[in-house]
Amino acid sequence: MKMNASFSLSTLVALILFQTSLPVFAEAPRESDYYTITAFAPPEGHSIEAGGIALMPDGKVAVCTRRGQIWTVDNAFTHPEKPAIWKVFAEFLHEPLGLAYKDGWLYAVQRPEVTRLRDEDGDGRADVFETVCDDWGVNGDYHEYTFGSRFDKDGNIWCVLCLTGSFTANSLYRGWVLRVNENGTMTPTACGVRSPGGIGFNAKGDVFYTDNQGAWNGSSSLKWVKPGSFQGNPNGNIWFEYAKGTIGDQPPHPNYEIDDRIVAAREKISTFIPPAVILPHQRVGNSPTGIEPDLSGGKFGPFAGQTFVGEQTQSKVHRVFLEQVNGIYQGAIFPFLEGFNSGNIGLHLTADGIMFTGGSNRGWGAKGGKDHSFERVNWTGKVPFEIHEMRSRKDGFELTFTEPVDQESARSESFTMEAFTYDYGKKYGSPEVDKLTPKVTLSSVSNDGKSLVLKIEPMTKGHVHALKAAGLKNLTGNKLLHAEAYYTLNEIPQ
Amino acid sequence: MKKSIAAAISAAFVFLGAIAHAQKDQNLELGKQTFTACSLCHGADGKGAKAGDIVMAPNLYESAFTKSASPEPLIAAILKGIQKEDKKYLQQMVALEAALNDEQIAAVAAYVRSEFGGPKEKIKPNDVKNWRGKYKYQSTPWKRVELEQIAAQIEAGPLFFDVKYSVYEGKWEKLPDFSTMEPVQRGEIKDGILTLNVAKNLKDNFGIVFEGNLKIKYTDEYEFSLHSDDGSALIIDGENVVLHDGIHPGSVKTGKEKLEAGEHTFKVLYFEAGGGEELGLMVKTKTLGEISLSKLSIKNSRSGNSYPPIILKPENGEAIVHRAFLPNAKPRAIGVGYPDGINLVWDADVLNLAYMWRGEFMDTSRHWNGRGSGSTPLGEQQVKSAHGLPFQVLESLEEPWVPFSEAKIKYERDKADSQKEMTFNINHPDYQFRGYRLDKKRFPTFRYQYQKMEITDTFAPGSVKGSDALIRTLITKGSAGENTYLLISNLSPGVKSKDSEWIPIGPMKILIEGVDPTFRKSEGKNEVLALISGDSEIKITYLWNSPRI
Repeated sequence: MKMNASFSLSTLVALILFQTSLPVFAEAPRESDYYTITAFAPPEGHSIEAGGIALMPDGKVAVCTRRGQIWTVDNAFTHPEKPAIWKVFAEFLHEPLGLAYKDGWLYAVQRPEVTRLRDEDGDGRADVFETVCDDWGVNGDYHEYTFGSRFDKDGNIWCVLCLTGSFTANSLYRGWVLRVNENGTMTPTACGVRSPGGIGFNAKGDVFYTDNQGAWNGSSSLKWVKPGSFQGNPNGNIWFEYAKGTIGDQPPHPNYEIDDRIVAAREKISTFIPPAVILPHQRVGNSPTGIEPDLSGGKFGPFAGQTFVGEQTQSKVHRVFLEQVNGIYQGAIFPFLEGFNSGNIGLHLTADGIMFTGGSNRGWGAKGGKDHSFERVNWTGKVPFEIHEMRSRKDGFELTFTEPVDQESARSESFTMEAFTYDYGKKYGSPEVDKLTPKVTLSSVSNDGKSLVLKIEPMTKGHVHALKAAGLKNLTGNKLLHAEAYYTLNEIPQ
Repeated sequence: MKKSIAAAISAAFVFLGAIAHAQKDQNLELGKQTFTACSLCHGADGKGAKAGDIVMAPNLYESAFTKSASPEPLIAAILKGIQKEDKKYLQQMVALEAALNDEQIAAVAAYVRSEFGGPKEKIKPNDVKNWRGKYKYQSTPWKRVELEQIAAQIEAGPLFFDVKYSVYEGKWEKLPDFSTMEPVQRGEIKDGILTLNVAKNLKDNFGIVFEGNLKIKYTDEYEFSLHSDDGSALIIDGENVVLHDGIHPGSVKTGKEKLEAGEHTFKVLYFEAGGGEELGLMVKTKTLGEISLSKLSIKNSRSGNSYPPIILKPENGEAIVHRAFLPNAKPRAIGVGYPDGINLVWDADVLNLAYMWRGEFMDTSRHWNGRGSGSTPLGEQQVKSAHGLPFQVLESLEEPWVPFSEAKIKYERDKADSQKEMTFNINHPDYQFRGYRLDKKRFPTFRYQYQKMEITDTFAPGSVKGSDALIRTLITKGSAGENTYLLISNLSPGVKSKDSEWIPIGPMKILIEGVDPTFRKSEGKNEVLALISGDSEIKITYLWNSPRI
């Protein structure tokens, strides 16, 4: 009996140990194992609806809010160990949605103008507010937002102007992208915008903006602002009359009477640049916002050179791989990180690999549930098992991975694919149309296990190719942290 | 023969039926098409779309407004939107009054009601137009309870009916016993809305008795507010509910009465001695909200803004410079609240003072709630001294002033061959706004350019002999050419007085220093101008005539 009792006791101990340790070993990796989100409490009594974020030369982070304040945050990199110190730099600006620093000035993109601010008397608050450029129209409609980038390599801030009520262009350059340099010179640069959520750069320095699903924009998407391009919504094209000499001719009208396809419309409208990466509506998000390249050279994890995109409704950040085929940008969106406190709008990723984001749920709800937020994302140093790149080929895609895949799991059956596109027309948004289920065949796996080639039949120009690599595993037997990727195939490489 | 006629007649009916059917379908088709935008949140099936695991918007099958007898509450919601008061749903119902026209709203409401469990009916675009007018006062999305009150008001119907009036002449200091007197006029008020207009030409020394029936749908406590100048009383079922007697300026008295569902009688007694004459009556209950029973509305002046106020108040002797959409100015408006309750709006679209006022500065609740539709200046009457572009080269004093820079362009949404012309604001090519600087007290100096002339425009609150004043300093450098004028006022009377340097304008008077004013009458307005030649410093003192309320 004694024997039995001690046996059963040790069994019990073993059982307890086993039971408590089991989940640790078996638990699937989570996003938070690789990237942590640190929330900043707002200064008491204030709303931090972060619309734009910039890094100051003294290491402080500047944040502009929808309520018109600009804050500087000291200890933003060390919070909460060394708590953040918030100081108001300016107040009551008109819903600024872009912030950039240059040569002693903070540049804020307000609804009606680009303004530069400076504190001359040294009391910590701005006292000089210079209007750099106000060469566009506003008419009092809330939808007439103006989002601004930081400075590009040529010294321009890029501004993207929402349509009036998101449907019409009742004020000058509504539905346009404009470039503004520090002397205030404005260059009308592209047309065809509907309702933007942010504007920024990829690692190469080319400019992209996000446009929300609606009229002439079947799904939300990341769009390349090639100078002189038409982005799809024709309602702002009346302003060509005012943009003479800075941009080519007005593009021909799209067909107003049918549900067309972008591929077909591109045949007729030569300057029509298709969305670089469609962010399939509902599937990955509902409202894309800020755009940031990873220029940290690996300090933010394995995605150096890729681009991050904020998502307001679903309180997320997406990751995007971009490539150029036949001179046109295209690529894939991968889920990256979710669980932010409010609806992300502003996004900033420093050269040291620290990401800041923030936003609001005012007027447009957000999953995060908090009314406003300012948060920091740190890489933990662990590398997640992810599809690193998804590159198009003549007859399929090449995938690379952040770590070697288990050769056993690298089989055709580990992959499924759907392909679809959207209507291109005047109605509000589009369902997924022309749906296909392409056949996926594994062609080859590299010796190091870090890349493989998939043969896809058929490859359909203009379609989103939605890949799911549900069966793929790494050498420790874990599945991909995110098994989905959505590639927009504007051009098929030859 | 007979047979062929019958066949022809039945064929004609079939044909007419087909036309009616096609029209109906066309309407529902427009509704369905318009609903695609709604379906993003409400779902194509009306049951509420999901974003991941959260519901974007309510199930329309479960909405009272889908099924209510009248489509009016649903259309009120479509026009103005609904506030997000809890976290039950991810999104808030947005105002669609600007995005959709009357036909689209009528069609989408008919589609929603017929498709999601409500009555099948035709809604007239003209009704939508009327409701647009009726709810024009509402400047923010509704609170849910307000929409429920609207629905209850429609359900309850008009409260007053069979309303008759009698007008009496006489000089009283208190309400007399009208029953012993002979009226000079009698009549009926068809819409049941009380108004002093029935006393036609009488200005002083008269009285009116309104009497009729009161129909109560919901048993409840009814709070009546009676506003009058001079005395008045409200009597229900023979009992005084509000007695607001005697000679007094316009003011409100309230009284509560529990009223059972059913019919009651009412009387409103009123008399006017001298001076102003006003009569207003409003009733309020939990279920119905506020209902105006008189032509003169005495609803809370803040009604129309359903958000709790967020008041901006200049503190610590510093000014607030607030950029937002503001009423009575162009969109690039800048509100400035100075300490001591002097405020102004400087308009960066026209590079000039738009208006000034005294008292509280600004309620920013509309700007900082929902999607943000601009702030609301508070305080007293706004004085718009000369809103519009400040400088102009006048070849002769006959040349009219052009206050705003506008242009026209042919534009229609989603049309290749637009026919309609649209007028839009455009920055005047001769002007460039340069921004502003704040001094130690955060008082702004606005800077702009007119042709080759650089201008700064600074204001400071002050007082002259105990009266409120706003002191403005305009400094110009360089020249915009000969005959460059500054427009200082276009308010009446705006003429030089013989014995004073002060020029009366509206409720103020102004003193101009540093430049000689020029007076002219142009296009029906008395304008005060100043010829600007070379560098100059112009000081304008705006002095309010009356003390602050």
